[in-house]
Amino acid sequence: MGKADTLARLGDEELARLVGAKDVAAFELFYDRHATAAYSLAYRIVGDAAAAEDVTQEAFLSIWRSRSGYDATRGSVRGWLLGIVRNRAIDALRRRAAAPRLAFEGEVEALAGASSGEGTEALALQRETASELRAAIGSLPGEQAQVIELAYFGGFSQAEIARLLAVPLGTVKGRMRLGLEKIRTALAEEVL
Amino acid sequence: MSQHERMVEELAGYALGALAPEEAAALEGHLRSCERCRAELAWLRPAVEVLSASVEPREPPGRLRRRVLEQARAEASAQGGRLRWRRIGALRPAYALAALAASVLVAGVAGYELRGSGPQATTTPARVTGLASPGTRGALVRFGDWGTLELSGLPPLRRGRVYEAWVSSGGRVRPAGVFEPSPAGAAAAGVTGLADADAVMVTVEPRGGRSQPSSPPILVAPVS
Repeated sequence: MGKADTLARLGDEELARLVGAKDVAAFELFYDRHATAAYSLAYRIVGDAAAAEDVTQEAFLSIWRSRSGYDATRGSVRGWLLGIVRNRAIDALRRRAAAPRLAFEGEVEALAGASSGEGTEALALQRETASELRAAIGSLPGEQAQVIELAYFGGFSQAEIARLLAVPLGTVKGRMRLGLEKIRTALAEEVL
Repeated sequence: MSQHERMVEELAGYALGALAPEEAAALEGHLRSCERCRAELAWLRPAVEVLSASVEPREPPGRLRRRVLEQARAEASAQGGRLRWRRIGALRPAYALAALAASVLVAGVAGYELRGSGPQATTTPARVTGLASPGTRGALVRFGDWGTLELSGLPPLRRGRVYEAWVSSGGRVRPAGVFEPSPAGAAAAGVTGLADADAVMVTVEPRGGRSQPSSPPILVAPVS
């Protein structure tokens, strides 16, 4: 059996371990498994294709260069990667806030958005799942969904959100906790 | 309010990346010594994964793949050439297909000759039930009448418990063997007699396995 076949049969954790051992073929497969999720999250946060590509590239290469590698106590491999993507995307967002967007950027995005066109079936499935998850998040009380989205996708701290919404810090913390616990409970009850 | 109670309040904010750096550092200090908070945080994490999985999926452009992989290869060769691929974990030599016919096949990670002659493989994702650990994933890779249930993210079981695979057909359920995952939580269980099967599933059973499931499945893969 060829190496590619064997690699393809590995679970995410084993694959991540091989990536940690600097195996190029494993890294290639690791990219193929997770690039769509990583790029989609980056795009959701930074809002344009060029910046999303940069963020995705930085995140994957930081894993490739990492000495510490994947640590199972930090959740699933996908969750670990997306945590890195999210933090880099928020950094990009903050850097951009310091340097205002150029007016013509939208046109560049339209050109840059052309995709490879592969894996459209898998993409359709992901789209369906994503829309179900969004509906579930949307069923949270609006004020809970709002603080969670501002924090996770907007990169605002609890204190910043409190100022933004003109509510006490304790209220923001409470809404965040209740909302996240509701999502988690729904997950456990298989509602999601 | 005790320090623990104050810190519990911060866990959701931490999981969402919404703490100021000094607050995050304080919480991380507390987490090192507080098992309850670590458990609570581990419980919350999948909710954050739901957020990231809820975004509208977009196909990354092919040029991004080229860029990332070229850069990775360049850095690898700069570091002294290609590292040899090595087997990891409890990888074992290829099992004979006869072992599959005996219906049970277990290993830490994949490493079997499964792509010989014979029917084309079809892969069906398994449905993970609420009883499974949040990170558990599975898929049935089927080659006609037989196949393997490929699993990852299986948590270790307490002593005296094992995972057991089952094949269900026409309302009857028959055992397909017990197995233990690798330390990283991966396993591949061989299953046969799929021609007339409706589904393959996995339950947690007492050591030695049972002839009928004694608990609801943690995972079900339909046989299409």
